[in-house]
Amino acid sequence: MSAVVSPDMSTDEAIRCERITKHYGSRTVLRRVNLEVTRGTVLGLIGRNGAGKTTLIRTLLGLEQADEGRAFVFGEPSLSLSDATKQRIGYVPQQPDAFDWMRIGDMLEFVGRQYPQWDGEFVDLSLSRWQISADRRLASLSPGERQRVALIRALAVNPNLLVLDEPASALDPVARRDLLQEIVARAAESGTTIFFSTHIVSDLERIASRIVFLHDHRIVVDAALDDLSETHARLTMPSEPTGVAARPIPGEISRRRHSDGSVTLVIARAPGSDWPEAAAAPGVHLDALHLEDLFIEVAR
Amino acid sequence: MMRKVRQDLSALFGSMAHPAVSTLVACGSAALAYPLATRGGYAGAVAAACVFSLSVLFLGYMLGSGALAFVHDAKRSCLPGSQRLARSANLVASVLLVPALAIPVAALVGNPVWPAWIPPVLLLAIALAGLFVPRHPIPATGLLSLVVLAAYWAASARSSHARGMDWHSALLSAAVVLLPAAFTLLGLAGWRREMRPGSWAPSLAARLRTACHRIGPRQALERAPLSSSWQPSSRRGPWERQSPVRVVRICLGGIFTQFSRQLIIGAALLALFVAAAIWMPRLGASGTVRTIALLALAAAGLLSSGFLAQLSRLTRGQIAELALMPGLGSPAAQRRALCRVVLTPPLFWLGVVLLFGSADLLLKGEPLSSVRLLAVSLFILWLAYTVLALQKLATLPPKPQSFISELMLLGVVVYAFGTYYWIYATQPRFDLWFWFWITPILIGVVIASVIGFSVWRLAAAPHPFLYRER
Repeated sequence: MSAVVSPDMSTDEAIRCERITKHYGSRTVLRRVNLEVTRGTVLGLIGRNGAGKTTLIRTLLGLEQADEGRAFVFGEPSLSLSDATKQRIGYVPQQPDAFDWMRIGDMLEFVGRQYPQWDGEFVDLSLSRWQISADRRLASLSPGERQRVALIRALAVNPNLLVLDEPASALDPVARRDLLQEIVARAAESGTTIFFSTHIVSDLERIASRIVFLHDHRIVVDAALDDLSETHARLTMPSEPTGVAARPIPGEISRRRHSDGSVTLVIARAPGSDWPEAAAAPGVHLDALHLEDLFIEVAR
Repeated sequence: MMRKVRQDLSALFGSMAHPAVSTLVACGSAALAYPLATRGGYAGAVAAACVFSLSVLFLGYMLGSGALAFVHDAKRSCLPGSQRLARSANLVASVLLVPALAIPVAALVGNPVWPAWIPPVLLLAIALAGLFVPRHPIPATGLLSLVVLAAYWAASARSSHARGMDWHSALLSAAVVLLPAAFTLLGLAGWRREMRPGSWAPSLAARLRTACHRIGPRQALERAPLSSSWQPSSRRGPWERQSPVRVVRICLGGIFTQFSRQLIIGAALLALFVAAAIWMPRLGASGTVRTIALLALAAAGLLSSGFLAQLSRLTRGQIAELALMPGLGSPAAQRRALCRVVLTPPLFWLGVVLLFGSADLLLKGEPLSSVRLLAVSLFILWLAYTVLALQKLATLPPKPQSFISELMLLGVVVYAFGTYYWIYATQPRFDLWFWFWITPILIGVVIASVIGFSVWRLAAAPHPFLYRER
């Protein structure tokens, strides 16, 4: 058994990936994705089905090997994480299906023995709060209950990095709200870095401090939530642009042509900088974008 | 006082309607076994053993299913005396056990046919082992094996002096009793596990509901965990890390972990070979060898398929747990633990098959070369299992395959070696040392090369629990 050594806490980054590319056969899932997440960030990863969110999460955690590029967790290569780093990670997969033959209490006890900072009181409190009997077998739980148990298991570790792959997909509204409150509390009290993927935009708006939008195998939006409406806008042109405007505009994220001939663009700018010249052209409308509008505009 | 009695009775009969019927049948069968056994002689002993097995079967059901249902009901009830009710279920089960066991045992003790002792001895040993299994699994299994082997060998030794077919009848009775007795064993194991002190998990929800009425929901939420007597997960402070082998085994689950399944396998194997031993005298020399070889290879194939099927059911969630579980050490240590967990249990069970098969062969006076041949065949079968298992580990998550498909795959191997075994063991003109060894050596070399390639693939990955999505 390897000696327990503390993970590198001197570095400010929790996660970093450099030019990650991943193919499944001939299909490209991720293309040169770069990402750096500092400690204490609550990062929401958003994207359509099949956009590569789960693959990105798995690659970041070292569950899959990228075809190109590298990923790091707390400064360690994610493909060779030390025990000390693993102890600092809580992970809830999209379908938590491990240990289905065990009783909840037995499973939590078994897992807890591997973590020095395991919080048994939190486990008991959460089980009672969500009215889940520790006597039940995991296989007999509904998907929502299973997801709750997986959340309890991940949070009881008192992780420094909590990775949640669509954690709210099977939860009812009450459980979802509990989860969000827990995430906010963890981030605020203990500075836990939280990386979660979801389809539910309202959840992101409630808790995320930073948004990463994965689309077309790459990150198209990476911005602080508070700055989003200032840094991203929708540009509506009454007709197909010609000349200089026909070429991609600086900061352009997506371009969509409508049946009436008009064109809609989503553009981004750096905080404090000006919008591109095309935004000031006659007949062009510039609208601020909220997260949901942005998601629909880009993903449609 | 009367109110408590009424509560007890209500809970008892409310939860135990089915077990009560089962117990009635069990006791009735046991009572019927008594006159049958005391009639004496061969027919009486066999009939008594058969009827007795019915009794044991129902008793096993009662213990394994009905009583556990009662305990669960008692635990979940909001009655103030729920814990006492659950404890009394233990007493009720013990009381019911006495007549069902005592009547036939007394009857068989009184039977003048000596081998008729074997079934009750086996049964008692199994029941006793069942009581020990949850806390002391290894001594319990050892006890069971010792008694079974002692009974078997004693019967064989007596066979030359026995009158007519008496010892055959006793072994047949043993085989008949063995399978239902295995059910009893499982029932008892489950029962003991449930009643074990320290595993008491009162329904927190039920407590919460009761508390809510008194102090309101907010305070109830705060107090419920504090008043819980369920301790296992309530740990904060010192922690004890488990060995990587244990962690990997538990994460794999299924047949790799569940002792009850392995007991069923052991009991079924024993019954299989005892039955074969009984029928062997009628088969002749070549028939004996063929039957044992077929049985051994079929049993080994079934066992290996069970382990392979469990590997095929490995999910992404399980693999992620293993990959991110701290305490497994370096990637090389993880690989070692994984290979040890996956490859050792089938080797153990093939050893058991070899033990039983060899005992049958030697009892029938077959030469040592037959045993050697059986050992070689089983070892090559294990190598075939190793190839398939390593292939699965090198391409996680494995393709989901059913037990049947795994069985068919191994069936090809079993068929090949069964034929090989039959030819060289039963056709003396082929029994040349060169041909005897060259076939397994050649196949062994091929298999070893494939294993080497699989191990290389496994070692080439950064860690053994990597998804190899394609």
